[in-house]
Amino acid sequence: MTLKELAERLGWELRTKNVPVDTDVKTGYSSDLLSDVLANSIEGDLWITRQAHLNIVAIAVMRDLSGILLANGVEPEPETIAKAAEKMVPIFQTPLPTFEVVGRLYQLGVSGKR
Amino acid sequence: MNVEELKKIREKMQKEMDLRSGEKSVKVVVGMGTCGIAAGARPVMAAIQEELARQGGPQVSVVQSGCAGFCEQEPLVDILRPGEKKVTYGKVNPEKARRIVTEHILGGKVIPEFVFAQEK
Amino acid sequence: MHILDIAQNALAARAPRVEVSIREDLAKDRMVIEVKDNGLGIPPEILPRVTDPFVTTRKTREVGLGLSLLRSAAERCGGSLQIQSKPGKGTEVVASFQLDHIDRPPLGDMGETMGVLISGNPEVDFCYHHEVDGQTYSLETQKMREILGTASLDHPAVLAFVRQDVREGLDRIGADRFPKIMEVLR
Repeated sequence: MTLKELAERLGWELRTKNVPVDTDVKTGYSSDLLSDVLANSIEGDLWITRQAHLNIVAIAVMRDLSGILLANGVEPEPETIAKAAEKMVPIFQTPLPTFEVVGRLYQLGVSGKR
Repeated sequence: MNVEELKKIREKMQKEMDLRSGEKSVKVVVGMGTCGIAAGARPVMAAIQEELARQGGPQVSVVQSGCAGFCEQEPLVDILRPGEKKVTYGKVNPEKARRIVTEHILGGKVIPEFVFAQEK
Repeated sequence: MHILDIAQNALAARAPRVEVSIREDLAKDRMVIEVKDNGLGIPPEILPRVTDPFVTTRKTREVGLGLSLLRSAAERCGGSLQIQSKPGKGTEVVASFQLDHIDRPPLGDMGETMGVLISGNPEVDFCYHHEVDGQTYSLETQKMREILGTASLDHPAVLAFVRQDVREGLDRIGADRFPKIMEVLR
Protein backbone atom coordinates (compact mmCIF):
# COMPACT_ATOMS: atom_id res chain seq x y z
CA MET A 1 0.00 0.00 0.00
CA THR A 2 1.14 3.54 -0.62
CA LEU A 3 1.62 6.16 2.07
CA LYS A 4 -1.49 7.88 0.76
CA GLU A 5 -3.60 4.73 1.02
CA LEU A 6 -2.31 3.93 4.50
CA ALA A 7 -3.00 7.47 5.64
CA GLU A 8 -6.56 7.32 4.34
CA ARG A 9 -7.24 3.88 5.82
CA LEU A 10 -5.81 4.73 9.23
CA GLY A 11 -6.84 8.36 9.52
CA TRP A 12 -3.45 10.05 9.56
CA GLU A 13 -3.04 13.74 8.87
CA LEU A 14 -0.38 14.96 6.49
CA ARG A 15 1.66 17.78 7.96
CA THR A 16 3.94 18.43 4.98
CA LYS A 17 1.87 19.91 2.17
CA ASN A 18 2.88 19.36 -1.44
CA VAL A 19 5.16 16.43 -0.66
CA PRO A 20 4.41 13.36 -2.82
CA VAL A 21 2.87 10.51 -0.85
CA ASP A 22 2.48 7.79 -3.46
CA THR A 23 5.52 5.80 -2.33
CA ASP A 24 4.80 2.13 -1.75
CA VAL A 25 5.47 1.07 1.84
CA LYS A 26 6.62 -2.48 2.50
CA THR A 27 8.48 -2.13 5.80
CA GLY A 28 8.36 -0.09 8.96
CA TYR A 29 10.54 0.76 11.96
CA SER A 30 9.47 2.04 15.33
CA SER A 31 11.94 3.75 17.66
CA ASP A 32 12.44 7.01 19.52
CA LEU A 33 16.18 6.66 19.86
CA LEU A 34 17.74 8.38 16.87
CA SER A 35 21.02 6.44 16.99
CA ASP A 36 18.97 3.23 16.89
CA VAL A 37 17.11 4.37 13.77
CA LEU A 38 20.39 5.38 12.19
CA ALA A 39 21.82 1.93 12.82
CA ASN A 40 18.80 -0.30 12.23
CA SER A 41 16.42 1.28 9.73
CA ILE A 42 16.44 0.22 6.08
CA GLU A 43 15.74 2.17 2.91
CA GLY A 44 12.03 2.67 2.34
CA ASP A 45 11.04 2.14 5.99
CA LEU A 46 8.10 4.09 7.32
CA TRP A 47 9.41 5.44 10.64
CA ILE A 48 7.03 5.68 13.59
CA THR A 49 8.23 7.92 16.39
CA ARG A 50 7.35 10.57 18.98
CA GLN A 51 10.41 12.69 18.31
CA ALA A 52 9.37 15.98 16.74
CA HIS A 53 12.67 17.79 16.44
CA LEU A 54 14.37 18.80 13.20
CA ASN A 55 16.90 15.97 13.62
CA ILE A 56 14.28 13.41 12.55
CA VAL A 57 14.35 14.90 9.05
CA ALA A 58 18.12 14.46 8.94
CA ILE A 59 17.72 10.79 9.89
CA ALA A 60 15.02 10.25 7.27
CA VAL A 61 17.24 11.78 4.60
CA MET A 62 20.34 9.86 5.69
CA ARG A 63 18.52 6.54 5.70
CA ASP A 64 16.26 7.16 2.69
CA LEU A 65 13.10 6.46 4.64
CA SER A 66 9.73 6.63 2.89
CA GLY A 67 8.24 8.88 5.55
CA ILE A 68 7.74 9.67 9.22
CA LEU A 69 4.62 9.05 11.27
CA LEU A 70 4.34 10.92 14.55
CA ALA A 71 2.25 8.95 17.03
CA ASN A 72 0.45 9.85 20.25
CA GLY A 73 -0.78 13.14 18.84
CA VAL A 74 2.70 14.62 18.91
CA GLU A 75 3.01 17.60 16.58
CA PRO A 76 6.13 18.19 14.51
CA GLU A 77 7.90 21.46 15.29
CA PRO A 78 7.49 24.22 12.68
CA GLU A 79 11.17 23.98 11.70
CA THR A 80 10.76 20.25 11.22
CA ILE A 81 7.80 20.66 8.88
CA ALA A 82 9.56 23.34 6.85
CA LYS A 83 12.73 21.29 6.40
CA ALA A 84 10.79 18.10 5.66
CA ALA A 85 8.86 19.88 2.94
CA GLU A 86 12.10 21.19 1.48
CA LYS A 87 13.71 17.73 1.51
CA MET A 88 10.51 16.00 0.33
CA VAL A 89 10.11 13.86 3.45
CA PRO A 90 6.43 13.20 4.17
CA ILE A 91 5.44 13.64 7.81
CA PHE A 92 2.13 12.30 9.06
CA GLN A 93 0.45 12.58 12.40
CA THR A 94 -1.90 10.28 14.31
CA PRO A 95 -3.49 10.55 17.76
CA LEU A 96 -3.10 6.78 18.25
CA PRO A 97 -0.37 5.34 20.48
CA THR A 98 2.62 3.72 18.72
CA PHE A 99 1.66 0.18 19.75
CA GLU A 100 -1.80 0.54 18.26
CA VAL A 101 -0.54 2.13 15.06
CA VAL A 102 2.12 -0.51 14.50
CA GLY A 103 -0.44 -3.26 15.11
CA ARG A 104 -2.74 -1.85 12.46
CA LEU A 105 0.10 -1.40 9.98
CA TYR A 106 1.15 -4.99 10.55
CA GLN A 107 -2.38 -6.14 9.82
CA LEU A 108 -2.26 -4.25 6.54
CA GLY A 109 0.88 -6.09 5.48
CA VAL A 110 3.66 -3.71 6.48
CA SER A 111 6.52 -5.81 7.82
CA GLY A 112 9.17 -5.09 10.43
CA LYS A 113 11.56 -7.74 9.08
CA ARG A 114 15.14 -6.64 8.36
CA MET B 1 18.48 40.98 28.36
CA ASN B 2 16.39 43.65 26.66
CA VAL B 3 16.26 46.44 29.25
CA GLU B 4 14.19 48.83 27.10
CA GLU B 5 11.45 46.24 26.81
CA LEU B 6 11.45 45.79 30.59
CA LYS B 7 11.06 49.53 31.11
CA LYS B 8 7.97 49.51 28.90
CA ILE B 9 6.52 46.67 30.96
CA ARG B 10 7.22 48.65 34.13
CA GLU B 11 5.09 51.52 32.87
CA LYS B 12 2.30 49.15 31.94
CA MET B 13 2.41 47.48 35.36
CA GLN B 14 2.38 50.80 37.19
CA LYS B 15 -0.78 51.85 35.36
CA GLU B 16 -2.45 48.60 36.40
CA MET B 17 -1.33 48.90 40.01
CA ASP B 18 -3.37 52.07 40.30
CA LEU B 19 -6.48 50.19 39.26
CA ARG B 20 -6.48 46.95 41.21
CA SER B 21 -6.83 46.29 44.90
CA GLY B 22 -3.72 44.11 44.85
CA GLU B 23 -5.12 40.97 46.41
CA LYS B 24 -4.79 37.60 44.75
CA SER B 25 -8.01 35.80 45.55
CA VAL B 26 -7.96 32.97 42.98
CA LYS B 27 -5.30 30.29 43.22
CA VAL B 28 -4.29 28.02 40.34
CA VAL B 29 -1.86 25.17 41.02
CA VAL B 30 -0.15 23.36 38.14
CA GLY B 31 1.49 19.99 38.85
CA MET B 32 5.16 20.25 37.91
CA GLY B 33 6.69 16.97 39.12
CA THR B 34 8.66 14.72 36.75
CA CYS B 35 5.49 13.01 35.52
CA GLY B 36 3.72 16.33 35.10
CA ILE B 37 6.56 17.76 33.05
CA ALA B 38 6.78 14.58 30.96
CA ALA B 39 3.04 14.77 30.26
CA GLY B 40 3.29 18.38 29.11
CA ALA B 41 2.72 20.60 32.16
CA ARG B 42 5.08 23.31 30.94
CA PRO B 43 3.08 24.39 27.88
CA VAL B 44 -0.09 24.11 29.99
CA MET B 45 1.27 26.57 32.55
CA ALA B 46 2.48 28.86 29.79
CA ALA B 47 -0.95 28.77 28.13
CA ILE B 48 -2.67 29.66 31.41
CA GLN B 49 -0.35 32.61 31.99
CA GLU B 50 -0.74 33.82 28.42
CA GLU B 51 -4.52 33.61 28.51
CA LEU B 52 -4.60 35.49 31.82
CA ALA B 53 -2.36 38.15 30.27
CA ARG B 54 -4.73 38.45 27.30
CA GLN B 55 -7.95 38.59 29.27
CA GLY B 56 -6.65 40.29 32.39
CA GLY B 57 -6.60 38.33 35.62
CA PRO B 58 -4.74 40.36 38.24
CA GLN B 59 -6.57 38.57 41.03
CA VAL B 60 -5.26 35.17 39.93
CA SER B 61 -2.03 33.63 41.21
CA VAL B 62 -0.55 30.67 39.32
CA VAL B 63 1.87 28.44 41.22
CA GLN B 64 3.52 25.04 40.79
CA SER B 65 3.41 21.91 42.90
CA GLY B 66 5.29 18.63 42.95
CA CYS B 67 4.03 15.15 42.13
CA ALA B 68 0.55 14.48 43.55
CA GLY B 69 0.69 10.74 42.97
CA PHE B 70 -1.88 10.63 40.16
CA CYS B 71 0.71 10.43 37.41
CA GLU B 72 -1.56 8.95 34.73
CA GLN B 73 -3.86 11.98 35.02
CA GLU B 74 -1.11 14.54 34.53
CA PRO B 75 -1.02 17.38 33.59
CA LEU B 76 -3.11 18.27 36.64
CA VAL B 77 -4.43 21.74 37.41
CA ASP B 78 -6.15 22.77 40.69
CA ILE B 79 -8.51 25.73 40.80
CA LEU B 80 -9.34 27.41 44.10
CA ARG B 81 -11.83 30.23 43.89
CA PRO B 82 -12.90 32.11 47.06
CA GLY B 83 -15.84 30.44 48.74
CA GLU B 84 -15.75 27.46 46.34
CA LYS B 85 -14.51 23.89 46.75
CA LYS B 86 -11.23 22.94 45.07
CA VAL B 87 -11.59 21.52 41.55
CA THR B 88 -8.84 19.41 39.97
CA TYR B 89 -8.69 19.09 36.20
CA GLY B 90 -6.81 16.14 34.71
CA LYS B 91 -5.12 15.44 31.36
CA VAL B 92 -5.02 19.15 30.66
CA ASN B 93 -3.47 20.44 27.43
CA PRO B 94 -2.96 24.05 26.29
CA GLU B 95 -6.31 24.09 24.47
CA LYS B 96 -8.24 22.87 27.52
CA ALA B 97 -6.21 25.22 29.70
CA ARG B 98 -7.37 28.26 27.74
CA ARG B 99 -11.01 27.17 28.12
CA ILE B 100 -10.47 26.59 31.83
CA VAL B 101 -9.13 30.15 32.19
CA THR B 102 -12.06 31.70 30.32
CA GLU B 103 -14.92 29.58 31.63
CA HIS B 104 -13.85 28.60 35.14
CA ILE B 105 -11.01 30.76 36.47
CA LEU B 106 -12.50 34.00 35.17
CA GLY B 107 -16.08 32.92 34.43
CA GLY B 108 -16.76 30.86 37.53
CA LYS B 109 -18.26 27.82 35.74
CA VAL B 110 -16.70 24.40 36.24
CA ILE B 111 -16.16 22.34 33.06
CA PRO B 112 -17.39 18.89 34.16
CA GLU B 113 -15.96 16.87 31.26
CA PHE B 114 -12.39 17.97 32.13
CA VAL B 115 -12.68 17.37 35.88
CA PHE B 116 -10.59 14.66 37.51
CA ALA B 117 -11.61 15.31 41.11
CA GLN B 118 -13.63 17.74 43.15
CA GLU B 119 -13.55 18.46 46.88
CA LYS B 120 -16.85 17.48 48.47
CA MET C 1 12.39 18.66 29.95
CA HIS C 2 15.46 17.77 32.00
CA ILE C 3 16.35 21.33 32.97
CA LEU C 4 12.87 22.14 34.23
CA ASP C 5 12.87 18.88 36.17
CA ILE C 6 16.23 19.54 37.87
CA ALA C 7 15.23 23.13 38.64
CA GLN C 8 12.10 21.75 40.34
CA ASN C 9 14.42 19.74 42.63
CA ALA C 10 16.18 22.96 43.58
CA LEU C 11 12.84 24.61 44.33
CA ALA C 12 11.74 21.63 46.40
CA ALA C 13 14.96 22.12 48.38
CA ARG C 14 13.65 25.63 49.13
CA ALA C 15 16.51 27.34 47.34
CA PRO C 16 16.20 31.15 47.35
CA ARG C 17 18.41 31.26 44.25
CA VAL C 18 18.73 28.95 41.24
CA GLU C 19 21.39 29.40 38.56
CA VAL C 20 21.06 27.69 35.19
CA SER C 21 24.10 27.82 32.97
CA ILE C 22 24.59 26.24 29.56
CA ARG C 23 27.91 26.30 27.75
CA GLU C 24 28.41 25.10 24.18
CA ASP C 25 31.87 24.59 22.71
CA LEU C 26 31.73 23.73 19.03
CA ALA C 27 35.44 22.96 18.69
CA LYS C 28 35.41 20.57 21.65
CA ASP C 29 31.96 19.26 20.56
CA ARG C 30 30.72 19.68 24.12
CA MET C 31 27.61 20.98 25.86
CA VAL C 32 27.65 21.45 29.62
CA ILE C 33 24.47 22.15 31.56
CA GLU C 34 24.76 23.32 35.16
CA VAL C 35 21.98 23.83 37.66
CA LYS C 36 23.22 25.32 40.91
CA ASP C 37 21.16 26.17 43.97
CA ASN C 38 21.64 27.37 47.54
CA GLY C 39 18.89 25.23 49.02
CA LEU C 40 18.85 22.53 51.67
CA GLY C 41 21.37 20.26 49.93
CA ILE C 42 21.53 16.47 49.76
CA PRO C 43 22.68 14.53 52.85
CA PRO C 44 26.08 12.81 52.26
CA GLU C 45 24.64 9.35 52.92
CA ILE C 46 22.12 9.79 50.10
CA LEU C 47 24.40 11.60 47.65
CA PRO C 48 26.15 8.56 46.09
CA ARG C 49 22.78 6.92 45.37
CA VAL C 50 20.78 9.96 44.36
CA THR C 51 20.63 9.00 40.68
CA ASP C 52 19.13 5.61 41.58
CA PRO C 53 15.46 5.91 40.58
CA PHE C 54 14.43 3.79 43.56
CA VAL C 55 16.07 6.02 46.13
CA THR C 56 13.71 8.26 48.06
CA THR C 57 14.01 9.86 51.48
CA ARG C 58 11.27 10.47 54.01
CA LYS C 59 12.89 13.47 55.57
CA THR C 60 13.36 15.56 52.47
CA ARG C 61 11.05 15.95 49.50
CA GLU C 62 10.96 13.21 46.85
CA VAL C 63 14.13 12.73 44.81
CA GLY C 64 12.27 11.78 41.69
CA LEU C 65 13.29 10.33 38.36
CA GLY C 66 14.79 13.58 37.09
CA LEU C 67 18.41 12.88 38.03
CA SER C 68 18.26 9.26 36.91
CA LEU C 69 16.88 10.23 33.49
CA LEU C 70 19.42 13.00 33.14
CA ARG C 71 22.30 10.67 33.95
CA SER C 72 21.25 8.10 31.36
CA ALA C 73 20.74 10.81 28.75
CA ALA C 74 24.21 12.26 29.41
CA GLU C 75 25.95 8.87 29.39
CA ARG C 76 24.17 7.86 26.21
CA CYS C 77 25.63 10.98 24.59
CA GLY C 78 29.26 10.51 25.49
CA GLY C 79 28.92 12.61 28.60
CA SER C 80 28.39 12.31 32.31
CA LEU C 81 26.52 13.64 35.32
CA GLN C 82 28.29 15.07 38.35
CA ILE C 83 26.46 16.11 41.49
CA GLN C 84 28.02 18.02 44.36
CA SER C 85 26.10 18.94 47.44
CA LYS C 86 26.52 20.16 50.99
CA PRO C 87 23.62 20.17 53.45
CA GLY C 88 22.86 23.73 54.45
CA LYS C 89 24.87 25.12 51.53
CA GLY C 90 23.24 23.84 48.35
CA THR C 91 23.59 21.55 45.34
CA GLU C 92 25.31 21.69 41.98
CA VAL C 93 24.26 19.37 39.15
CA VAL C 94 26.53 19.32 36.10
CA ALA C 95 25.59 17.34 33.00
CA SER C 96 27.87 17.17 30.00
CA PHE C 97 27.02 15.93 26.52
CA GLN C 98 28.73 15.52 23.21
CA LEU C 99 27.20 18.53 21.45
CA ASP C 100 26.69 16.93 18.07
CA HIS C 101 25.46 13.55 19.30
CA ILE C 102 22.36 12.35 17.44
CA ASP C 103 20.68 11.33 20.71
CA ARG C 104 21.34 14.53 22.61
CA PRO C 105 17.92 15.83 23.66
CA PRO C 106 17.38 19.25 22.06
CA LEU C 107 17.05 21.97 24.67
CA GLY C 108 13.55 22.83 23.51
CA ASP C 109 11.90 26.11 24.30
CA MET C 110 14.20 27.53 27.00
CA GLY C 111 12.10 30.68 26.95
CA GLU C 112 9.09 28.72 28.05
CA THR C 113 11.13 26.79 30.63
CA MET C 114 12.56 29.95 32.23
CA GLY C 115 9.24 31.77 31.88
CA VAL C 116 7.36 29.05 33.68
CA LEU C 117 10.04 28.84 36.40
CA ILE C 118 10.18 32.57 37.01
CA SER C 119 6.48 33.35 36.88
CA GLY C 120 5.58 30.24 38.90
CA ASN C 121 8.08 31.05 41.64
CA PRO C 122 8.11 34.86 41.93
CA GLU C 123 9.92 34.91 45.28
CA VAL C 124 12.93 32.95 43.95
CA ASP C 125 15.95 34.49 42.27
CA PHE C 126 16.83 32.96 38.92
CA CYS C 127 19.89 33.47 36.80
CA TYR C 128 20.14 32.01 33.29
CA HIS C 129 23.43 32.18 31.43
CA HIS C 130 24.01 30.66 27.99
CA GLU C 131 27.29 30.74 26.11
CA VAL C 132 28.09 29.51 22.59
CA ASP C 133 31.77 29.76 21.67
CA GLY C 134 32.26 32.97 23.61
CA GLN C 135 28.97 34.63 22.62
CA THR C 136 26.71 35.03 25.62
CA TYR C 137 23.14 35.66 26.60
CA SER C 138 21.96 36.12 30.15
CA LEU C 139 18.86 36.87 32.14
CA GLU C 140 18.70 37.68 35.84
CA THR C 141 15.57 38.15 37.91
CA GLN C 142 17.48 40.40 40.30
CA LYS C 143 18.14 42.83 37.45
CA MET C 144 14.55 42.45 36.31
CA ARG C 145 13.30 43.41 39.75
CA GLU C 146 15.59 46.44 39.80
CA ILE C 147 14.09 47.71 36.56
CA LEU C 148 10.50 46.73 37.26
CA GLY C 149 10.53 48.29 40.67
CA THR C 150 8.59 46.69 43.48
CA ALA C 151 6.14 44.86 41.20
CA SER C 152 6.08 41.10 41.60
CA LEU C 153 7.42 38.85 38.85
CA ASP C 154 4.25 36.80 38.60
CA HIS C 155 2.64 39.39 36.35
CA PRO C 156 1.71 37.75 33.03
CA ALA C 157 3.64 40.36 31.07
CA VAL C 158 6.80 39.05 32.75
CA LEU C 159 6.25 35.55 31.38
CA ALA C 160 5.76 36.92 27.90
CA PHE C 161 8.90 39.04 28.23
CA VAL C 162 11.05 36.14 29.43
CA ARG C 163 9.88 33.86 26.63
CA GLN C 164 10.56 36.44 23.98
CA ASP C 165 13.85 37.69 25.41
CA VAL C 166 15.29 34.18 25.81
CA ARG C 167 14.20 33.10 22.33
CA GLU C 168 15.74 36.16 20.71
CA GLY C 169 18.90 35.91 22.79
CA LEU C 170 19.49 32.24 22.04
CA ASP C 171 18.76 32.80 18.37
CA ARG C 172 21.34 35.60 18.31
CA ILE C 173 24.10 33.42 19.76
CA GLY C 174 23.20 30.33 17.72
CA ALA C 175 22.31 28.05 20.61
CA ASP C 176 21.48 24.34 20.51
CA ARG C 177 22.83 23.53 17.09
CA PHE C 178 23.80 20.11 15.78
CA PRO C 179 26.44 21.17 13.22
CA LYS C 180 27.42 17.82 11.64
CA ILE C 181 23.83 16.57 11.57
CA MET C 182 22.62 19.80 10.02
CA GLU C 183 25.16 19.39 7.20
CA VAL C 184 22.92 16.60 5.93
CA LEU C 185 20.06 19.06 5.60
CA ARG C 186 21.96 21.75 3.73
